[in-house]
Amino acid sequence: MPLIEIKNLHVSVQGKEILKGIDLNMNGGEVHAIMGPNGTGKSTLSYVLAGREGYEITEGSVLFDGVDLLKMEADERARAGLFLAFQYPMEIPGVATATFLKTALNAKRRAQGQDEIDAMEFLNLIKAKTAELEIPYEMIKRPLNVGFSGGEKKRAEVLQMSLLEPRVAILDETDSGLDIDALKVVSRGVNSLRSEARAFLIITHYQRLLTYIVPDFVHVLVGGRIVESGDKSLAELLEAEGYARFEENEAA
Amino acid sequence: MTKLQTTTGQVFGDTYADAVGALPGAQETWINGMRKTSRALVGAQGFPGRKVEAWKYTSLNQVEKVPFIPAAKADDVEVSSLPLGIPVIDGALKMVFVNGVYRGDLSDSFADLGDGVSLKPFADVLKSDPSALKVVLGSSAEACQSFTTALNTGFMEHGVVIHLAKNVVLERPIHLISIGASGAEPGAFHPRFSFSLEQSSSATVIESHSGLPGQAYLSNPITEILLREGAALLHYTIVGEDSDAFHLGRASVTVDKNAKYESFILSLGGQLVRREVKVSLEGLNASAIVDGVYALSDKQHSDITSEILHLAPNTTSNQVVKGVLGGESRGVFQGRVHVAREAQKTEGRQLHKALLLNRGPEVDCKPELEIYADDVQCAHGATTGEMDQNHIFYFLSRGIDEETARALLVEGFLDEVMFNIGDEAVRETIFGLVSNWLARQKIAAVSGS
Ligand SMILES: Nc1ncnc2c1ncn2[C@@H]1O[C@H](COP(=O)(O)OP(=O)(O)OP(=O)(O)O)[C@@H](O)[C@H]1O
Ligand SMILES: [Mg+2]
Repeated sequence: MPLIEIKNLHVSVQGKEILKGIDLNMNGGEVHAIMGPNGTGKSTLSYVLAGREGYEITEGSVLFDGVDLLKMEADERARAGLFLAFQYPMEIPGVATATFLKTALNAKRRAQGQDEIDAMEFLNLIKAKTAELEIPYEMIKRPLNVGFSGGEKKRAEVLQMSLLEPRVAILDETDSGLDIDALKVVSRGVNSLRSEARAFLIITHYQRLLTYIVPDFVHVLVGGRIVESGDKSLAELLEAEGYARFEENEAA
Repeated sequence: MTKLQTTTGQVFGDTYADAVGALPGAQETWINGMRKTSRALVGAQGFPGRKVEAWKYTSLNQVEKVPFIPAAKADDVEVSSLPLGIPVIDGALKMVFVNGVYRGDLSDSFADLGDGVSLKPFADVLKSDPSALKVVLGSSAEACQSFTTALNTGFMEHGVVIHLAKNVVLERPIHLISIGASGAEPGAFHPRFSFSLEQSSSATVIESHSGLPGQAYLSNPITEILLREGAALLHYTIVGEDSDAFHLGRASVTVDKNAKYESFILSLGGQLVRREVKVSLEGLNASAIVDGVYALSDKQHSDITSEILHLAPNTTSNQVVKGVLGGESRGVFQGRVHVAREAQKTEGRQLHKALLLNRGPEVDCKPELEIYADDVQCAHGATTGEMDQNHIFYFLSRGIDEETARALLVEGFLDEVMFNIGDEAVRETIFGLVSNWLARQKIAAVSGS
């Protein structure tokens, strides 16, 4: 059974259809990349999967490990192992990053019948993870994302992912805003999480990321549909040619 | 209008005055005069209506309808368990007032606080040494500058008088615990707390105001504070009255040269609470912090009205007031900052922020900056907003349930100002009170809002 099974998914926002029939299966161990022009519905897809309000699902279904994902609340989905690294991580004034991380981690642990994490253990865990992602430890004392630079925000998202160890991780343009070195660090972080039990959906505009995180499949999303799927060479082709030929088809 | 006067006449007029009877200090003409002027003002003008600028956003209609009698004297009231919702501050010396009257049996002994520290029940001073009150009570004109003060001054009898001699540092905080308790009929009481701190002395004072459930009561406490050159006072006021009760309270503070007044008000309401604070920065380098938080639910109404007067050069004031409102509550913040012509190099900062937990509550905010000096740095800001759904979604997307998310966001919103509370024990208590409040709200989202 696939970990994620998206069938004929149609989604409208304020009466306007954005996703026009998405079909996508992801199995454990796989990395899928989605590429496509601006405004074609990539983030919409990620939000719908994560359970954000304001999207009307007019048709289709999504199964997560065989369970109807669309019936679950956003927080249930997360506790069940779904994770979205936001394209634009929000700034949350007044809530320390550490508090946020700990609350999230404990929510997951409780859902799995585990005890809350011991303070010392949490500290050590965070120390190890921040070191791995080359995030200054001091940053976790600051209010979540407030005043973080673009790249720091993205790293903080990956830190959250690495802490919560999701089964399905959606990364929405996590590479944008990262400098070349940071891109390597973040990619290493993602790669270290790759496992048979876990699937990744990586939304990106740049083939460069996919040279570090090598995908099993590349999908092209144009006009709310997946218009072509292939292996990693498709990304190279897109890099060279752009989306012109798909957009012509779309217009036709 | 006529009806209004009649009602008031009945409530705090002759009948009420007769019931109060002879008050101590009557032998002093000036005290008598003050009381008379104040009673006349309350009687003649009645409760201020909404046409009175200072009361535009707080209607006293509900208060006016209640036929208050002078609250039962302390000894008749059974207070079995303290502290009634507001914990006694760790390590503090507690003085308990029931219906405004000092209760020695419930209080700590203040016999040996050391040299230069004097604490006396207000009634005792009125009886034995009324002239000692002249400085703190000021003139009757002053007594009438606010309805809240006038109502108190007309009937003042109980409370406490605290005096610190020059250079005395009072290490132990003093916690004044005021408890309201009506018997079969709704009672009103008018405690008077007065502090004078002589040159370079310092103290920490906490006032808490709570009460017993039952008939509505009206608590009308006035605090007068005089800080002489270089003196420093930490002053915390915690209001968590019974849900039927009314509270009309005021602190009036004079800050001399180099003296520091640092204050925080926590208002968890009652039925209707109005806290007024007036700070006069009268000497060079005088400074004040006048922060506050209010947290309201149901149909509670809470008003914080502040006046900060910069009357001398190089004076500084800082004010951050934050409100969190649920249910169909009403919050009011009025903040006037006045900078006199001679108050050059003044710095005044004021910020009011309100967070609405649903669509039910409303907030009225009236900031006023009056600047007559030219070389000043003043800034003020005010915002009212609902909780950001996008922020909540971020928490949800990490597996945190909505209730926890909202609680963390509210705490985060309030933390900024609560972290500035200088006294650690008070800070902890206030954090505790706020998190209990949050837990009681079940800050559930109103779906569809
Ligand atoms: N709340 C909304 N109201 C109106 N239109 C919306 C809303 N959310 C998304 N859209 C529209 O849906 C379309 C798809 O947006 P989406 O963010 O999914 O694009 P994207 O593929 O992620 O683009 P990009 O590569 O620029 O991130 C856009 O045209 C966008 O304007
Ligand atoms: Mg996008």
